[in-house]
Amino acid sequence: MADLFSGLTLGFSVALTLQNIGLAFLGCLVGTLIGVLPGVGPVATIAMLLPLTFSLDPASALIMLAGIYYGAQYGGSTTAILVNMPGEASSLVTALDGHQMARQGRAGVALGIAAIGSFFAGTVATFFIAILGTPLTKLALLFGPAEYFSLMVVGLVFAVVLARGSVLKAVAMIVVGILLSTVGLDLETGQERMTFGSQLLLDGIEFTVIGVGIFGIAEILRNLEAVETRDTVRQAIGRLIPSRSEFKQAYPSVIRGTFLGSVLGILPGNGAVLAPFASYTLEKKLAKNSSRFGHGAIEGVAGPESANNAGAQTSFIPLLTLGIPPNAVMALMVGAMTIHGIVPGPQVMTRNPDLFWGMIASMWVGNLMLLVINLPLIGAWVRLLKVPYRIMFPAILMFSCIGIYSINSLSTDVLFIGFFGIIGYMLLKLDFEPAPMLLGFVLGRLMEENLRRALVISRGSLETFMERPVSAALLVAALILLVLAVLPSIRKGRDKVFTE
Amino acid sequence: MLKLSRRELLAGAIATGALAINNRALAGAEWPQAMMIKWLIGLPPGGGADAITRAIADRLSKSIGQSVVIENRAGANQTLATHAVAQAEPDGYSLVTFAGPTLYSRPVSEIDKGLEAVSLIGRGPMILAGTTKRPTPDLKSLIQAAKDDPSAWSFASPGHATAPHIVGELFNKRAGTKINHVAYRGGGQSINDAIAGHVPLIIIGPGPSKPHIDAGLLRPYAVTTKTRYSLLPDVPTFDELGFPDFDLAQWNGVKIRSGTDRKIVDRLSLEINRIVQTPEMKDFILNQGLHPVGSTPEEFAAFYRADKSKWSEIVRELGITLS
Repeated sequence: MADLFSGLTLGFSVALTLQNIGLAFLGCLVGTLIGVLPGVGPVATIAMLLPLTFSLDPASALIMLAGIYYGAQYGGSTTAILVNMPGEASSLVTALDGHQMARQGRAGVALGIAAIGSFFAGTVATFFIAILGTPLTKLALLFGPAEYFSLMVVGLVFAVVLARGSVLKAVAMIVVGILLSTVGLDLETGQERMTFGSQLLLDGIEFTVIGVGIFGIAEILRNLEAVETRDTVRQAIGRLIPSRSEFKQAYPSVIRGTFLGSVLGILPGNGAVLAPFASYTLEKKLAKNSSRFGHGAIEGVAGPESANNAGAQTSFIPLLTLGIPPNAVMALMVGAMTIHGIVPGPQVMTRNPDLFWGMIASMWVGNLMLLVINLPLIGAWVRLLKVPYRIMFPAILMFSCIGIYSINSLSTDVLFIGFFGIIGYMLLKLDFEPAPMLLGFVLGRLMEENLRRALVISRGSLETFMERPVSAALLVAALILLVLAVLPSIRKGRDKVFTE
Repeated sequence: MLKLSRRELLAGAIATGALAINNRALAGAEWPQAMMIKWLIGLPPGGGADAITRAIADRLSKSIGQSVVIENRAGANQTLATHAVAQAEPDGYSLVTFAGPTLYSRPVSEIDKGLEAVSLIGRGPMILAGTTKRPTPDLKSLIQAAKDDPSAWSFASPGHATAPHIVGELFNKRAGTKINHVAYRGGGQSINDAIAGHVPLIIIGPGPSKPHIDAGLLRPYAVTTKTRYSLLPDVPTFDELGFPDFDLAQWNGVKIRSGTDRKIVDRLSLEINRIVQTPEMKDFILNQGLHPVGSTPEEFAAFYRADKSKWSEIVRELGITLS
């Protein structure tokens, strides 16, 4: 405990210098603005800004880069809520109810609760890291390929729950999503799968391309066909800050989301990606009237946003304690450390305590900055919705194209969002929901790769999934969840039979 | 809508073309002009090759007084980046880092034709290491254990047909073991799984593995080059442990569009060598797991040819399908 206290004191003495506060602010601001542009993610931004940090000392450089990361996480939610365009898997769930809230004139409330929920989650997660970071590393080590596979199975059950309409259609969409995730080189054998001989498909399809296409472009197409819908978004602006009753409704979700996100974020195999989905599923199951979900339920924004931010925060644990990056942004942080002559690894904590604790303290500072930057910005964002749609949509299209192009500098990616936009529009017309498909896409690759790894290690024995306690527990949990999810619709079906 | 007549478009095109020609003509004489140098790398930001490239680019930019911009164009086994430079203007403003060996079945023929060597930055070993949870203190006991109970052993690599994968299969062949290969996507998760013992063995560069070896989380068995890695001097080589002529290395080098003015290539090679030879940079490269080299274009070209035929020979011998 004394260690923790002296650590935090050291950390805040690093994070609270004028220069580092300024850099945290700058990072968060840049991150927010970048995150708002659909497609331009934190990876591209951090890579671009990396040379600027060469002249800074390592702690300052990392504080600024981390700020960009949090900022982009939050900025992505803004776009998801305002124009239904999730640029990353993490903001996909926010788009579901967040954009519905915006259509009902509650965009300000959605943005507000997202900002406040994120701040709360970030604060809790920061202290979680400070207190439990080192022991939690053990939890990360518990998860091997078999465990990740089983965790992803749990994730797929979430996809069924995400669906608003027919379960059958949701399952179909999940399968399509998984199939899409298998495009590219087979990891174990190096065979090309569904690449049509094109070099551009060797590495599979970018999430951003599908997300922006299926959600964003399809949304534009739908808005253009109906004059009324787009005008409802425009006319009703409503309040900017959540009311007391809305707070009351949302705060339990924030707490639950924070907890879920904190735990999942620790897993170095990108477990954080599941956090918002898990939270949404939980909220929908706990709600008295789950039919509100998908039609602008505030819990559907508050929970996943908190989970997302908590996960983003705790995903620093494997990086800080082991030097193992769980995702592309963290890999960049490793690169930044390397360039500054710090060897990332388990020794950072003891050899560079100022860096370790400075980062932790700056997380909290960064979260505060986000709140300071974003609460005043809400008004500006919401006013953007007043812009007539005939001016708005070409701008959205243009920014999407620029953003997508900036990821890999590939013009074919831009063509792909058009293609997926048309697919997304067709799906909308046929009442197929894209969210389960995107979740299938996100989980598919992780699931397949870990399944095959686990089987190579066990030499083909499927028992490995039941022999390992964590894996077995997760599979049982998945089964229970599935039964809970499917039961109501079966019962409903039976009721119908009886009434007839 | 902006309207341009055909004539205006044509004039524009000619003007741009003329500018490009002009650039090339001047290139030899006054390189570098007020034009940024674009240095591509076919890997995502964050890895060892990326860090080395950025560190060198930063110093290069200072020494030639021209900004050098790094662009990570990851994908398709580095071919997106190498292909782009192989098709760039040979004006001395496009460089690419090669992180070798690069093994794939579909080499775009223009790439080798379109690129020429500038300098070999460094080369270094891979390490066979494993979880400390298994009671095998050295390579000999490991081989024995793997023969006694083959199903209990497997090794992690950063992907199919990567150098560590091939090293592992070559080891299997020469040691007479049947250790299963488990492919990961890059280093991160595989290190986690090797430390925890989910995968008992891992073959990986010393850059990402040394901190875990130092911390006692991974046990090193042997390095794949003929010489030991100078930052882990206690780890023996395969060659010393009864695998004569086991000498496989990973390396980083710089290439440029072929046909670039000789003077520019020489100047770049000279500058990069000078940077690589500074004590500060030597340390940096060594920490990334490579022994700093720094070479003339000819030396790198000869190294590249020899290295390529060596790996293709092994790949053919082992019957591994390349991707």
